[in-house]
Amino acid sequence: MAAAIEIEHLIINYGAHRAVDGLTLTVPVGAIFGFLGPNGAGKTTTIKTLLGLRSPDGGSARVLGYDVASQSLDVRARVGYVSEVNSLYDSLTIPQLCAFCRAVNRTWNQAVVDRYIQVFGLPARARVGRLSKGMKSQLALSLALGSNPDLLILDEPTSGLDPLARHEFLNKLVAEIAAAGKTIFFSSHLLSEVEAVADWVGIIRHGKVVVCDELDHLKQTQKVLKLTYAELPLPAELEALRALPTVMSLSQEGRTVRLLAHGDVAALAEAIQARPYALRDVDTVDLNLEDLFLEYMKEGEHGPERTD
Amino acid sequence: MPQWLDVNPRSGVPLYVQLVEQIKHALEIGALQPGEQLPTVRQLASELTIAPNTIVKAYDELARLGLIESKAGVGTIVVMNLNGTLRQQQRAAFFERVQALIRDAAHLEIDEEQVRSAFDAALRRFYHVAQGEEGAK
Amino acid sequence: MALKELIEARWKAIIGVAVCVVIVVALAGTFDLLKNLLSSSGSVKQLPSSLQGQTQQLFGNYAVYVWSQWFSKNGAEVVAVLAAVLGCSLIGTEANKGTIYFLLSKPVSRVRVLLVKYAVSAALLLAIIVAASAALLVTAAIVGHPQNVGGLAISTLLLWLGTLFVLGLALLFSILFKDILRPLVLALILTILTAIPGFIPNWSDWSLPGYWSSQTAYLGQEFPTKALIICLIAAIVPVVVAIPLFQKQAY
Repeated sequence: MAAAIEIEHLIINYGAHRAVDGLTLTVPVGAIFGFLGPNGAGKTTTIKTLLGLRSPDGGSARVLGYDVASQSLDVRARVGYVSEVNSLYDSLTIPQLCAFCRAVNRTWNQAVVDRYIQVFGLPARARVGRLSKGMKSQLALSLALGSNPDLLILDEPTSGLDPLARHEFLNKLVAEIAAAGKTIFFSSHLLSEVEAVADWVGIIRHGKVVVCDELDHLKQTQKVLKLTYAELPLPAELEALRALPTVMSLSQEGRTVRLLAHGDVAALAEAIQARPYALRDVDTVDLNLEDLFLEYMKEGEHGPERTD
Repeated sequence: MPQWLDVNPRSGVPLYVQLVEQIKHALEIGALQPGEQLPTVRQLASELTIAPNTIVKAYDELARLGLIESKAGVGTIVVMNLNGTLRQQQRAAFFERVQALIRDAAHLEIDEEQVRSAFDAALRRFYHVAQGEEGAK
Repeated sequence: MALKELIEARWKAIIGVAVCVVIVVALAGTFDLLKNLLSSSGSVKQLPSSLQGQTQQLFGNYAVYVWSQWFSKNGAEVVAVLAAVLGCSLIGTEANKGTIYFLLSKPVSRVRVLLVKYAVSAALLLAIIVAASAALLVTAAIVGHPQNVGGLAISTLLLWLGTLFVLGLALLFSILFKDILRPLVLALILTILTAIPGFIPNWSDWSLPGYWSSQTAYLGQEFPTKALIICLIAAIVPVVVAIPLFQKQAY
């Protein structure tokens, strides 16, 4: 099994509305994968389908090699899940909740759960209903780890957490879980969070994936070239620039032209400098995730699309 | 160790590139000495709260440059390979900078003699006067 | 998993037992009191003659009185409502509160989840009915009219099997609706509908709740095989329909 999650042309309908529209995504084993997208883009729907809470209306998905539609029990036995909504039983105490989990999971390690409960500083015998929202998230994560899953799927896990708690949560995720070789797939609408810990990024928009790549690779290959011309460039020249390979989009303001380029930006810079137009300056601007995200979210297909 | 490591996830520069650059810089200024041990991938990932894979990529790149070595049972050690790839890159970068400097001087229409005497003064200062100290700090 | 269901339903069970036991004790304990009250005050003579006959019949025999008031009327109604209450929140509240995502993401089949919920509710329903019957036995003995234990036992079983139908209906509707009011009301309405034939002359055999109680069985005169079978089948049907519905439901 090469990938932790493989989704192919997934289609999910909510009545007449198509929430997920031919989504294709691959999450490599051992990755910390950040699933980014605006609210309503289809993140939670996709995750629910992976866990067998919904059935796909088209396409397929495999988790750890198992088909999500026909082998859902196998999927759920090996995946730890923390849902977006606080979904723990308020009327149970933490020990009772643990007992419930132990009863339904074939492989349950209470010691691991106890350790995390201690690390997070949760009151070990409290009723779940009395815990704060942040504590419930921490408890949910602790419980998700109890079955020793190979893959953790987290839906907006830090929503409702204050910045300190969020940092601690992400730190535990990275330091203990990713470091142990487990794959983490988490959805978020917070760029900063994804940028901080994820090494892979998948951006979803209107139910489709617009990019799925290693974050470092994205940053290396997507750059803005800022050209400052000696004289106002002619429209013909702009068209020629736009047509150059690796140029995704172009914008111009007076004598400054900005090119969004993907790929070998150095070669592009050389090619441009070789053209018969006097350039005062050629500057390569690095793009961070927010810049990239905004580019991808622009209406119209000038926002680049990459899937590999 | 990470006291002197400052990675910025929000930057447009890929994280592993930042790590590589910072560790290289630490070697240059002597904050890291040959023979010293680098933290394990797990430790560093935990302290910086960044993905372990990113640390692995950085370490791989540093190993490729001949700057560090992984020994089973011992960990990751700094080896400063003075004739290695890194050194060559730095040398090449230096000469490019010289080209750029002269080009700027030409643009600013500085007198050729003035440029030469500036170079001579610097050479005297760093190469001849301070005997035994080789290379920049 | 059963323990969690039990913990969640504990208050409904406790209140159910309390309500039934109070009603039973009131019924069983006040027979002589009411009988004396009626005959001594002479108010019976003031009723129209048809009613007079009925009242005579009602208060003539303790066992018949108790059977008609508990197993045939009040008890059946109260227990039916309790069954609907137990069943109406089984799935709906979990979906409402979001705990359903936690539950269904565990490696347990949906069939098992549903059946465990049903089984625990059925067991609680049985506990309530048995508690009531026990209270009846004790109270009747105290007031000096010891009852036929065998007949009581069979009537207990029959009432349970009968009201399982209501529980099943409530469960079924709980899968279809996220709130608890609609499953509760719909289950009860549907049950009432099945009772309507009982009011049409010559159609009383088609009334389902009619089979929940049998006077002859209570009095120990005969074994109500037909009634038991009908109630058993009626109990199973809603569950069988509920299972595939729950399996296909998207959350």
